[in-house]
Amino acid sequence: MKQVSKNTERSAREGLLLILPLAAGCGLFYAVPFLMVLQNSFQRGTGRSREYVGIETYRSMLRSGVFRLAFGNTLKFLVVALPLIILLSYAIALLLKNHARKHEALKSVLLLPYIMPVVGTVLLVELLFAQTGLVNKGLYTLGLPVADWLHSKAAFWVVIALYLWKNTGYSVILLLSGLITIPEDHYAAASLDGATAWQQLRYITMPQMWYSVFFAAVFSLINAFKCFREIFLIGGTHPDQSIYMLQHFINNAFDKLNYPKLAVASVLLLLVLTVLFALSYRWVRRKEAYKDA
Amino acid sequence: MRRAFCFFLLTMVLFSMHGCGTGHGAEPTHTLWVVTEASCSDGMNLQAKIIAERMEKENPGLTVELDILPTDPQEREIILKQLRTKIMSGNGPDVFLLPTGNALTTDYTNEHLHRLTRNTEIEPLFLDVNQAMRSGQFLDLTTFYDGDPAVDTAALKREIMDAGTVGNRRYVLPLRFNIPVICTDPKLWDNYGISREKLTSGGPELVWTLLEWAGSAPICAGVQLPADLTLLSDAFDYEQEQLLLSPKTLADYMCLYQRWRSAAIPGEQMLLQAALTETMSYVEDPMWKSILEEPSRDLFRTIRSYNTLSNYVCEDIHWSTKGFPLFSCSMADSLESLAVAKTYESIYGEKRELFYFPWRDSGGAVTANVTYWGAVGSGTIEPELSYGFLRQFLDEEFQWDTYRPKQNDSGKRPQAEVQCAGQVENSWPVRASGSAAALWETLRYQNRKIAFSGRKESHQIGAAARALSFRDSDIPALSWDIDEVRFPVTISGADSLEYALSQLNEPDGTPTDADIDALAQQVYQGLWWHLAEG
Repeated sequence: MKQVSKNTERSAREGLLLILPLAAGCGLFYAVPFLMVLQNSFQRGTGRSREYVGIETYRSMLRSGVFRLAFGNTLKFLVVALPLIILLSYAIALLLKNHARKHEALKSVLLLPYIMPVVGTVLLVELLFAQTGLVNKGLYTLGLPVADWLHSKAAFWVVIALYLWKNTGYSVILLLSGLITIPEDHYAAASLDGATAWQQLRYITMPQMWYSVFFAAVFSLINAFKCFREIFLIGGTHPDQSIYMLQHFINNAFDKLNYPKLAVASVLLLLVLTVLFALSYRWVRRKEAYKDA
Repeated sequence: MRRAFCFFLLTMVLFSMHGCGTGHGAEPTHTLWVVTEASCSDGMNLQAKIIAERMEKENPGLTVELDILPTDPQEREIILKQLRTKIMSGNGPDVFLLPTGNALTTDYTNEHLHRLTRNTEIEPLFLDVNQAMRSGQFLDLTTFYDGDPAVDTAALKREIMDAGTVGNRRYVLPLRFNIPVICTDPKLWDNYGISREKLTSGGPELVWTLLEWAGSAPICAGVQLPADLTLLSDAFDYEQEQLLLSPKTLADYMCLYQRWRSAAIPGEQMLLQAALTETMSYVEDPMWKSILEEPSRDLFRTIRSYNTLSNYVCEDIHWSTKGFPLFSCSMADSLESLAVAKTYESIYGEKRELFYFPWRDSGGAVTANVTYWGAVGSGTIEPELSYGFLRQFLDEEFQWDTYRPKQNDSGKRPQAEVQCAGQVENSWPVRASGSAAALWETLRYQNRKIAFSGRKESHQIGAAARALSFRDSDIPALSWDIDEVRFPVTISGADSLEYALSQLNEPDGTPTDADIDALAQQVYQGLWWHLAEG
């Protein structure tokens, strides 16, 4: 019994040693900078002019129209884009499930927009949605009214379309890898019992896919923030108000040397994302609890 | 293998520790990192170099590193990003010595060895000095400044110096400033039958009045409506983070600008061409003819060339002698107008009285702009030395441009070594008391082109100009009550007023069908972004 306990202790120690480099890296490159940002959000000035101002910057930021616009647009983008990408990629993954193992090339095709250089993506958007772009030319030919897609409220939906086009393939791959781990005999047994396709999806596929969906959502969230590069190249530092994101605010505050505003924006964004992440993770854990039982 | 590795490590440790010992006994060394912009070679860069050399002599072990920001846009963008990162991390420069606005005037020598100037558009390091003061980018200099016996605060223009403070704290030392001035010749002005009250009304109002005389080219060409916010009342309330201008105010200004350009540009071209033709008719020297025809020269190319002493002396080109009833200029340029009037009087014995008044903003306020300033960076590790460096720019010798090269009366000095035209940074020093006489002492040597002049009386007129002297009481702007002092704000790209105004007219002044309301809304939006993000 003592020997078993010693072995467990030793293995725990070895485990800790193994994760130490990673933990140190995370601490040094993520935790420490974040703590510095947090500290800065309660201060004003830099270097010798630094002084503690408490939550003054938070107060002024919450009153600021531009910050609210940027924060609101970012949340709106996430609220619209994340469910859409998950639904779309889930549907595509289900359609491809039976062929996933047969066509390895399919995965490469799906990932093509994801690995496309940003400049290429932006050129494509310009080609389609500029005032003299293909979309407007098509509309004009059909006798329909044309629009300024990139400098009006429509820009938001162009960006959503761009995001979906670029990142859906990546989410499909993630979800496909979850789908093919579900044993085929579950479906065979259900078919024998007379379960319909919808019932199989609801009672077999969905309960076993929560973790995959969760990770697809997390990666889609990360990709949503990466989408800023394209938005920036399309609209510059001050695009149409409908696509003015939090990254624009942070980027422009940097150019104007306002570190406290930049820090507060980052902290508030992280706070909201952490809460969202924690709630969804908790929900997924609850859904997947039957596996532990 | 392990032993060899241990030996290697030990050797490396010993080598690295070796460096720790070498400093013992050596003199402590400091570097003062001064960030500045390129200027004319006899301008602020010259002053900074002299002060840097002096400080290095006075403080053994001190190196003053003058870091002149590049003007090439691509190189500049990278440098500014690096600099901003350093400032934010608290490791920024010790001293900032910078002009306001987004235009730099620098000089170069052409193939005829003539000193010429050019303007370059740049992105400033600090887009808004007021915001930078409020967000704590500079060191609080109150204790240094208030306790410094070497600063003669009574001689400095108080309203201008106070612009460098927020609350009770002083962050910035304004070094030079400007007030927009309108100069008039009452004799000519009376012919138009417009009262003095109308003349001294707010800036845009005055131009609306002038446009009633749009048929008369000189009246519109002489007043240059600025393509920035100078003539509009203050745009920003930094405390409340509120925009004080409305889109309608901007649209009204744009309408005015469009109307004014339509009238002024054809008039300006007509006047400049007439002046060129007249001068060419009596110039015999082929080299001088080719110089006059050079497109890069200011003379006969911009209306500002109608307000320089040297152009008057050499070519009889000056607004007051060419029938302009009024002329807008900077406070610094007003000294040249005065010099021309006095020279004319002394040569021709005819009294020429000019009348000066401030070009008020739309709210009727007399507004001054800080044009050059200095501050100690919050990242400095040498606050006292940094302040000591900066403070010297307020001394008489630097405020009054004592070290600008002066041409001797024989005119033998090589052209490349003479002064650039006009005042340093085209503005007035904040050490206003006693400044008129001192600045004139430098300016009077700028009649350098006499050797090439086609005008027969040039030498006689030049000598008369150099014999003049001025006192502060001769410069009316020095006694005006200043209502407001601003640090000009730079908003770049399509959101700027400058860009919007450029969309309103063709280069020849013909109005375009640009939608003024949409452009005004865009500019308003740009101001809103600026205030909220900074």
